Amino acid sequence: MGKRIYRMHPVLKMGLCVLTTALTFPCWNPFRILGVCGILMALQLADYRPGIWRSFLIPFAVGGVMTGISYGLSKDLSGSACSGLHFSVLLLSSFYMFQTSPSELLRGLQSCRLPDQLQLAFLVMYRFVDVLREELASICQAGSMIDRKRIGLIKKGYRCILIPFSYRLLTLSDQLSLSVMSRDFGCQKRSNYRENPIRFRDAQGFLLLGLACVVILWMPLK
Amino acid sequence: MDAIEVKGLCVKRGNRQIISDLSFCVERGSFTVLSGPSGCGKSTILMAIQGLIGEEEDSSATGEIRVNGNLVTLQKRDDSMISYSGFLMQNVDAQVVNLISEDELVFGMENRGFSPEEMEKRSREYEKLFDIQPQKEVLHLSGGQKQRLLIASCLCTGHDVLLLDEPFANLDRAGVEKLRSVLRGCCAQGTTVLCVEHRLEEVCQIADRVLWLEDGDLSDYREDEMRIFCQNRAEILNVSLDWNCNPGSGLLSVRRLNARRGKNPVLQDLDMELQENETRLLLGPNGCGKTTLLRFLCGLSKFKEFSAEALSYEGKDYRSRFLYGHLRKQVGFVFQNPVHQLFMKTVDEELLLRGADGKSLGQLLDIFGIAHLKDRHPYSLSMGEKRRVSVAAAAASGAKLFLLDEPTIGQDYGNLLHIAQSLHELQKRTGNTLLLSTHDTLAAKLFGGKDIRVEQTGTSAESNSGA
Repeated sequence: MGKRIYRMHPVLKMGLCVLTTALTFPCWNPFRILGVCGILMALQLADYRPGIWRSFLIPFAVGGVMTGISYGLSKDLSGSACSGLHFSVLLLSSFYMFQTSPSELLRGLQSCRLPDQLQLAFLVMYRFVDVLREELASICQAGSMIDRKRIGLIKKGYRCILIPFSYRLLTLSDQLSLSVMSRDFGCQKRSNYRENPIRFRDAQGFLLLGLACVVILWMPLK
Repeated sequence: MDAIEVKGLCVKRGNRQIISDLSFCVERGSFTVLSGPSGCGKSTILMAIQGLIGEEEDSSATGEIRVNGNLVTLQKRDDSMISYSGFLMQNVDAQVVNLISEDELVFGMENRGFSPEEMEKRSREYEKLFDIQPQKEVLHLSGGQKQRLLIASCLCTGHDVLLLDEPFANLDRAGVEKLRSVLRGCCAQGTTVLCVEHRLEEVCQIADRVLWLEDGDLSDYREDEMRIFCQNRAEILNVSLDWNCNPGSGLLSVRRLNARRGKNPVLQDLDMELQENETRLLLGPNGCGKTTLLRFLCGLSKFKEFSAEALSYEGKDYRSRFLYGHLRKQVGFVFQNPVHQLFMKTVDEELLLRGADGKSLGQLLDIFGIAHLKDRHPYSLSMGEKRRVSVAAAAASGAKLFLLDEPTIGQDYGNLLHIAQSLHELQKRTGNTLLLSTHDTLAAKLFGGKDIRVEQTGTSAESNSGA
């Protein structure tokens, strides 16, 4: 553990995540969807980063809650499990997609000759997730110093987390894109400190994994 | 030809006129400091020179700005418009684009199309110069380390005009010295530096001139006149506050504290004692763990990330997982960024939320000089005012121990004095204990008291120097 075994090209990684999520949504067999979850988890493990267990725990926790709600409303276990697992797949693929660093992504997008504005949008989006995570942690810590008896649990959640977080969300996104622009992003042809072209093994991995997902989701079962 | 020419600059933000009819020039190869009270529009001027003013919501600008003879747009930027200057913004957290130090360092160079060999050469040079670990995750860097990284990233793009917005804030003494010598070297080679700075004493040794902006008027000081002006501005802080030299009984005790951030050890075998009614300063180089220590002391660290032989507050042991979390309700803590802890619609509601009652509310508003702001929304205040409100709010909790993480960053002399006087008055009335972390020499002198120095190795030592 702790070593990156297989790191897919960021653009193909994004494509694979979109593909698996899109293919899974029409499927209503929980075992097949679990199979896709397995593939996404294996990919995350191969592209290891510290604290990866959270990327497994959160999707299944959210999926479990959604299954519970759905079961409470419909009493259909299989359908409820599928609806919960759809959320898990969505989150697992998102976490896998965000396992790329902004610079890797940028170099990857550049190697595919995507327009600068699209690169900028992806760059800010990728970096913004981490900025917001940091901000949310600080805001939650500040909020935890407030005694909830003074304000009530719901108002505390709204006033001490939602309001400051929304404010930071709006101001920080502006600052981040200004920072990118002030450093001449997109003004001229960019060079790469480390090249990140699509290699044969990236394409091979994308095709094999995409195929595996299709087989798992559509293979006839007796 | 001047490197920067500003003619008739007017900037409006919403209905508020920020700058009106401002004109000045900056000579090539000079080091010019732009200073003035908080909120006078210094950062706005840099944004305009960088051509970013049109990108801001609600902002409109007129006038003419030229950098090296090139006309800078004051409208929305054309995508292909290249910057004529390197720019360091004020807020370090929001401008780091990458997650790894090395990626951040080369980001500007990649955008400007440098060859990989050139990038390699320059990044190694600046890594060495600013003590940057190339493979370190940016999320694990302290504020000062992020500042160093951004400065290095700005300098290594090789622009011949640099716009720096408070580059010395967050830096420790060694960092300040290093940056001063690097900037002096840059100017000697013909680079023009326009630097916004509150702490004139930090820059007047290397500055060629100081532009002072107040109430829309720009005053120009050079040579001896400049040095006298800087001295006079700093003299505002030559007041002796009588911090209590007779502390009471023991309030907080920590023995053999070991703490880490992620997997990296930050504090090692640290011991400290705090008495009632005393003021202590927490000093140390960038990244030595001052914020980590303060967060630990107010119960905000993750329980698995530290171990201590003793942690007692008001004689009670807080080492157990359950009790440690309760510490955050007992101790007042002021975050480095005040925005994180402003929650309510008005300033007085903010203080009431933290535990102020009818009587103490009026007192706190008076002590911190924010009575006139009591009906304002905290987010609508200037940075200095936000800082005072956040300190007052923490004081409203009535905690005996009061921890302040870099409360003087980005504050002008007036605000700095105001904060010190308010805390002094508060301590006189309530007898609480203050522990402040700071890099600011002037602030350290103003707060006096004993120092706790956290060394780079994460161990502590005590002294009485006061700065």
